[in-house]
Amino acid sequence: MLEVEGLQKRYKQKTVLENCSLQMKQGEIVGLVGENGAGKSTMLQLLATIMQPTKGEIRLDGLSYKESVKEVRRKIGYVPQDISIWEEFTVEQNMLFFERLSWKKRTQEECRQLCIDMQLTHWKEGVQSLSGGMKRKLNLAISLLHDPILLLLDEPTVGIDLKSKTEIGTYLHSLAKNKGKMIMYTSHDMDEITNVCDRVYSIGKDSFYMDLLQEKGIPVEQLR
Amino acid sequence: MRWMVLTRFRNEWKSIVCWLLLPIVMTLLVMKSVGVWQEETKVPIALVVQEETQLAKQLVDEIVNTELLHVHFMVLDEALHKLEQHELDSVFVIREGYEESVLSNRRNQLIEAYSSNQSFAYQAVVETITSLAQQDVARSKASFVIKQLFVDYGRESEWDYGEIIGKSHERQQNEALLRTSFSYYDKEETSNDSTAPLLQVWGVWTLFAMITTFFLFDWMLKENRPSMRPRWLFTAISFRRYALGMLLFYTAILFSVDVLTAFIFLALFDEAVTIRILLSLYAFRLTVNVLAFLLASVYRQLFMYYVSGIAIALFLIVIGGAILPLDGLMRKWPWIELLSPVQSLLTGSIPIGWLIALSTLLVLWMWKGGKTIA
Repeated sequence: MLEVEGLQKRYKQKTVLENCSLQMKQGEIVGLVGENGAGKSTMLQLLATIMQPTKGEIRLDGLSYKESVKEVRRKIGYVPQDISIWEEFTVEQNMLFFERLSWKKRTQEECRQLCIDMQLTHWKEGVQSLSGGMKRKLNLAISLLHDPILLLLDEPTVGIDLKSKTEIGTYLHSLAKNKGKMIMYTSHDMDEITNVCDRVYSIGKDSFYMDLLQEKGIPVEQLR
Repeated sequence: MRWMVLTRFRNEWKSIVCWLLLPIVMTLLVMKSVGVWQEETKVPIALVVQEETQLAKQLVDEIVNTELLHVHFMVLDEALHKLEQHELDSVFVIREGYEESVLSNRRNQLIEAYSSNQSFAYQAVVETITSLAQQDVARSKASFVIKQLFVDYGRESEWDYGEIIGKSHERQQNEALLRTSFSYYDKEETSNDSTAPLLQVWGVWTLFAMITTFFLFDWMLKENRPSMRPRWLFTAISFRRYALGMLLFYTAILFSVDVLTAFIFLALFDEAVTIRILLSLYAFRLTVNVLAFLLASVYRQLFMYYVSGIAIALFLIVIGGAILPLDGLMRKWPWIELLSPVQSLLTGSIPIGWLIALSTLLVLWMWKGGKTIA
């Protein structure tokens, strides 16, 4: 379970997030929407331990971010907006490279299966020759190598074709429902959000969907 | 860790090997070009030797051994023809009777010289050859005087002319007649006659070795680019540990190539390879690698890193005396030697100041590297 209480983030004089609270349960997919600059990526980076909050408390499975950051990181999979893979490697080399760096050891076959599960079949192919959608899938697969319980995705489907978007959405859905992962992700595509997510949080003043982040989020049915 | 480093190497071996071999190749090219250029800048003269005596042969040897002259041997007609064609700067004839003139202390018209209206170096060459001939005459005259002194004192049999000339040559070869060392009373000798164990070949090499090292260490930026940084937070091996592993790997592989370079230079340029030189080379390699490593950790943009790396390499080369000799400057300010690890390599010493400073910075980087994020 993820618990966020009274989260605040300030950059010098500018307050990006103010008094944000939320909860996530196992098997839930939560969408984070908001205008550009509203603080979606900041929120994800705070949850991913990349940044420290100015105020507030975050706990994952009862572990405090302040006290047990290293243990918390083992439970988080973060998929950055930029594609973070080695362009000069093949899909196989990328997977095996990050497997060696990972806390959890996996066999080559397990790594390959992870790719196949999300329809990434170009195992021996160089990353440079992959489509944007395939690269995004590899980006996601690498983040799943250490079997995290919380998956944070920063616009994971930006700039890719509809087919790949659907495949990623389907895969995320199966991850949450079959493996009990908590998934939070940001997107500007409301259709995608409503198709994949169970709940939606909206960040930012004058937000199209909500005025401020609400504690329980909007049930996705209201948006459909 | 080893698997990851080897996977990187397997993917990029072509470019890595190119960068590793570039300093050797460029040094060979530069040294070859300088050699050709030096040969081409020598003054072409013709020597027409009409006498086969010992003194004439000695003079010919001395002229041939003059560094700035390119001597061609030919007959007078051919030499004059080439002089007319401006293929030669000047022509010198050692005429028959040269030895006799020297032995009889006749100083004038020992050598016949020809020049054209385009003999730009004629005067300088005449001065050089005349001085060599006059040296023989002076030696001969001195021998006659010494011989006469022995005769005057009735000890004619003790020294003959040949012995005096031989002794004179021996002294000239064994003693630096125009150099002397002096010391103040009760002090160590003030002038240092020791020559640098590594010569200009290493100076040229250091320039290319430093630049290629900076280019080789761009992995620090590529593998820790902003988009990759979050990845390193969710790995069992931190970027800091990975980077230190890569630093060790590159130091090992670069030093192996440096040792190979030392033996290539031994074979091609007769550069000595001793334990001291290898130690100095290792210290230099460590210094340059850690410098490149730390510099790369400061920058975010590859272009700015490359520009800074090249600028630092050039600066260290210049103040290290690899291109312009800094003997005078170093006598005035001996501490200038500490400013460049290049100077340490050229003198076969260890850049202790650099190693201490860089080790401190490396420790700081390791400490700070683990504290930057959350």
